[in-house]
Amino acid sequence: MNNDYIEKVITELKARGASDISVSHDTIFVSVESDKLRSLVEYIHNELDCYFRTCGGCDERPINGFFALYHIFGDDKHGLNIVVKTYASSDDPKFPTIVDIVPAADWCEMEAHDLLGFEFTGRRQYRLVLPPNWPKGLYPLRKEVPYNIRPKPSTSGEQISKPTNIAAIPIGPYHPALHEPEYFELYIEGEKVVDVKYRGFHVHRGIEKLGETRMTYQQINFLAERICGICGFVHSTCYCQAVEKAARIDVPERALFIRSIVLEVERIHSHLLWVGVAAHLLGYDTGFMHTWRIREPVMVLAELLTGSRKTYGINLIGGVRRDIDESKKKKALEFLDIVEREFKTLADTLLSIPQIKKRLKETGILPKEDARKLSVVGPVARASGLDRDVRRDLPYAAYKYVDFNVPVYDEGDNMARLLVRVDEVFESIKILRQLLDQIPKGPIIAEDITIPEERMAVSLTEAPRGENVHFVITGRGKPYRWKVRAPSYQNIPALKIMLNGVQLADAPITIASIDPCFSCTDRILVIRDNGEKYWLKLTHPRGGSSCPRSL
Amino acid sequence: MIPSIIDIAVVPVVIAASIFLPPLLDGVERKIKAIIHSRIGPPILQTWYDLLKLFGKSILAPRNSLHIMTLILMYAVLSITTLILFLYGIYCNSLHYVIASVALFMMIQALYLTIPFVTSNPFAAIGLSREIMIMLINEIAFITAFSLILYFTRGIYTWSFYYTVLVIVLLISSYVSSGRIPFDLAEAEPELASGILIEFSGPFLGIYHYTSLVKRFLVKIVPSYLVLSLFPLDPYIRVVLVIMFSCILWLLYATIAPLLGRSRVDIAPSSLLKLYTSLFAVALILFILGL
Repeated sequence: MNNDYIEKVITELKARGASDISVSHDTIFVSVESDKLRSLVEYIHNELDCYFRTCGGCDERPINGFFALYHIFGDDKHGLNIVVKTYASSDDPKFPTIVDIVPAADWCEMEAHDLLGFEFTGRRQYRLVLPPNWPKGLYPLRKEVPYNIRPKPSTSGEQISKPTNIAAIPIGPYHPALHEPEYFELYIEGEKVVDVKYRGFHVHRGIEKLGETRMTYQQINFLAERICGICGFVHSTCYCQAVEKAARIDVPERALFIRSIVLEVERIHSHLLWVGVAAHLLGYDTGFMHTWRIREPVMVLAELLTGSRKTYGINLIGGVRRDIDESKKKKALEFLDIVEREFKTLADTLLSIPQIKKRLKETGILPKEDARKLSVVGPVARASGLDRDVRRDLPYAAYKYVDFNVPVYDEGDNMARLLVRVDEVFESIKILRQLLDQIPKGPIIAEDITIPEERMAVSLTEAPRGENVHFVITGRGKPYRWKVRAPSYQNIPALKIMLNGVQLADAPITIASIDPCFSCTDRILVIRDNGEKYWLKLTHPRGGSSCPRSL
Repeated sequence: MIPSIIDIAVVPVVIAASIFLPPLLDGVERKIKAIIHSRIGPPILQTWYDLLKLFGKSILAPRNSLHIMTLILMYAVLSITTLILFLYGIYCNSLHYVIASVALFMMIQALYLTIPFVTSNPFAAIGLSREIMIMLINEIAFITAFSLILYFTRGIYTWSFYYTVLVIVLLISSYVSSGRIPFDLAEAEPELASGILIEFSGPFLGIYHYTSLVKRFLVKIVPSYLVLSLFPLDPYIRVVLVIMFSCILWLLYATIAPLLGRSRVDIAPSSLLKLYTSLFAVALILFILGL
């Protein structure tokens, strides 16, 4: 990390009203008064060209009598995070909105609005995560609200809006093409999609509240792994890293290598699953079946290394629970050879099918400028020309010891997103060979695991779908605040742009091209309270104002 | 002419077997697909099992549908009648029966389109509009090719290059008519959740699905008949060979479909139009050149 650069940034931040500045690992923590927040954010997002990672509210009244809002930005070029904290009084929790400067902040502001009762001035507010008839004044993430409170059940149906001359095609919440419940309302003229309404968050699990109330630090590893069925290990790793960073726990190198190995196995498994699903959505079931056949050795490899085909359960704060011996290494390398050979043949065949090429090229385009404004992550970003990968930019676990390429394509279409994932499978195999070759001897878990209170940390991991963010404020025996931002949460808002103008037939593959994981995204419930359409305008010059509204 | 014992015995058996064959061939197709997919696949009689199960369900008409039962029954009866008529025409070597069967086939196609039209489901409506787009090109090509063969040959079938090209048009259009990938746009599960079939269940779905399989078989009989008419054959041998050749075509199409992806409503019709126009142009040129 460049200390001169950090000093320069700190000087500029101070000049714009930042105070209480501290640097911990790769993160600069600053505080700022509400009235100076917007100018600071404008500097960080526009002049420093930082990506917006997420924001999260926190009820700090038991600690200092205030509510707090944390905005997390990422300077990937310099391997830095910048966390901007703003306070509001307990009887009037108002914060200025930044959504006109950072359109990507829309959802997380409304999440804080619903779950903590924060009011954001200068924007239209709406219910995002709670049902329309949720009791007023009941904010689940406030500390006085118990985790097991249950408001009286009620039904809250929603009328599909009926525009006069545009047909609305509902997709979901239950649909043969969907593997999780989500709802898209596509407005079509002929067979062309002209507008999209999205409502997700159909499955409430209260993960953050559970983690902050009734679970211990080590128990949360297993809860975090269940945020998602496909990319669970990356969540538990991200959580572990956040706590380890906050508590300054030195994780043994061997454990870091094991984590990285399992992360890459998970990535290969996820990408193969996705390629199969994409082939199925394009009518090429042969590709689907063969991709999942090739995926099977990866599942067997995961079972060999961790004891489970999925949901591995080997992460602990301070290290891992399972080791990899020499016989496992040898078998793992054999499996990797098989997967590489077979997937190469399959990928070449898949990309030679004329219907596949025609359906994927120049469909579902996400321009680079819009991708940047929305701070999309992962393959979606890399397919739109944004060269971002947390493994390279903010190396974690054992990634600093390996060489790999980050595939980037400029077209921004569905084909580009497929090609990024195909290339990443081969890169993951390359990484795995290096990790297995270099894995050092030693313990697999730290001896001293002491977690002091009131420490903060941001952890990032590169999930198959993109960057995961876990933000932790430590408490006694469990986190005081645990904020999770999954990559699909960042990518889903981009669908409105990607779906605009596509043929109806290409809508499912376009939706699937972001590899949406609604389990990760739907940590909380969302139901719209009316059927009014909103338009999200994004094609504005950088730094100019716009009037973004939600989907 | 007094029919012989063989005529009395073989022909009804062949016709009865043809009615039983389409779902059996569908079962074989599923097995072929499974082999290509590297799986085991369902048993060959699975399609019959599925149909029988559907027939055993309670009858539930789609909401707001008009005369749906009448239309589906008409569709079924007309299809089976056409199949029997066609096979009989092949047996008698009667061009009139063959032409009447092709005309009836066009009516079957119209009924095929009408049935989802009377349900009030947007997915069915979109599937239907896609099917119409493809049929407009495909069925016209089918009729044109068939008519040109009759016109050029005057019912006396002899091999020539233009004859071959026109039979190729019929083979392609029979593939497209069968609703296999890449032309299964009407059902497209990812966006239409079964499309034209979405409102059907139980016996309605069973009858509709069975009749679609009969139609799939019927559409292969035309090119099979035209190929085998080049050879002098006894009537019942001709019928048996037409059925066998149609089965071979079915299995050939079954092998092609899993190797392709699904097309799109703006791509498929224009691709077909270009292909058919080129083939007809070639056929005409060959005819003019006396080839």
